[in-house]
Amino acid sequence: MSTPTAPDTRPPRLCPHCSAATPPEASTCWLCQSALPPYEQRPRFEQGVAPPRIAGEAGAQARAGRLEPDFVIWSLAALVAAAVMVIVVIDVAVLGGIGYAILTALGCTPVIGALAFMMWMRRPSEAGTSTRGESREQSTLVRIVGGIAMAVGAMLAVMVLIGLLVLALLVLLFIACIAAEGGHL
Amino acid sequence: MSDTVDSEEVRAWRVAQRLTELRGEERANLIRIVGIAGFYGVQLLNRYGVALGPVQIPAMEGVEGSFHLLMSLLALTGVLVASGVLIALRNRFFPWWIKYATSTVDLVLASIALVVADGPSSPLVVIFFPLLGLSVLRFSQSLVRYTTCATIVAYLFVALAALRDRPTLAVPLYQAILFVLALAIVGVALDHVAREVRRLAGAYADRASRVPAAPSADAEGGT
Repeated sequence: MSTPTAPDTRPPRLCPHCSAATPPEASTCWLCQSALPPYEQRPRFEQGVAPPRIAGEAGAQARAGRLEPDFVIWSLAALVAAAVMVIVVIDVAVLGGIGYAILTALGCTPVIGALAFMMWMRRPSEAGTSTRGESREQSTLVRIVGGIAMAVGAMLAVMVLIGLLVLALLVLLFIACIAAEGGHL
Repeated sequence: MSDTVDSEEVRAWRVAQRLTELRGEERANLIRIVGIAGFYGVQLLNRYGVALGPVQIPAMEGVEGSFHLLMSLLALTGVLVASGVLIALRNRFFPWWIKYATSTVDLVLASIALVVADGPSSPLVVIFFPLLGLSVLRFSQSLVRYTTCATIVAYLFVALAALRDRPTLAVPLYQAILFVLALAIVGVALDHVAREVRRLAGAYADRASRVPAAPSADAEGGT
């Protein structure tokens, strides 16, 4: 008849690998199944959640306070946005006539112009690399995309100019009609 | 000393969070623009149809010019807002509230589109789910919670507007409850994702700090 052993009153300890609380007599962690060191060698107790370390260039930029947009994503978004605007202007011209189209184009042109300008005029410090450190080959791609956007913006600007010209002619015609009627509407 | 370490840790976490928010905002904006282009493309198909050889998609009956014009202008507004965000990010204007503003504008535009369309009966009502999904890209719990509540409010607004003005388009109560429940469940799941990302980052940093540095080649060679 064996004598009953006294219950282990030592407090649970933390697994050094997953920080799960394990019984003092356990030799492996119940959660991650890792081998535990002897109880006397208590693992370091971590309090709270340690912050992540930002590695690589992203971390260097963040530490330097530079949070720059990703230029490839930015260019793609700008190009799709410009394309949608052009389609809407054409659609409005078909549906509502040139007057509505001019108004729509007037609203779109500054935005497309700003997008195209920002895409084209990259800052000298960013030339050749983006925030992810891509090679200079992407700079050429970005320039092509920027050129397309510039062309789209120019097309809209031409549309606005033509619209304004038509509007001016209509106003002249209106004045001429009034004059022909002896100044009375 | 401990305070200094804590403040450094808090600062590092804040920097990491801001960086993640910026990247998330960029991606959310790109997805928003592509999404608007896609939905608008479908609207164009509905209006004009397509006849390209074997691909024959007839135009939908009952899509009036005024309705299509309104949809075009809504798409244009959405794209202009997204372009404004692009310009702001390019100019390093990135306030904390921009994610709330863009989410709100998305929901307002979607609600207007639904109200002028077929209300809660419209197939466009699924647009609430991608709008809710975009919120998690910023990994902000508060944004996910805000967007979830705002999405539910927007859907209820659309449903009530249909019930008040066009009862034929109103959905039964059980359908509305199911939809709101689905939105809430997705919101809770996304909230969980946003919360667990921080824990994951913390756990990773903890593991990484415990891994001993690999011995260099010189040390291995016994030099």
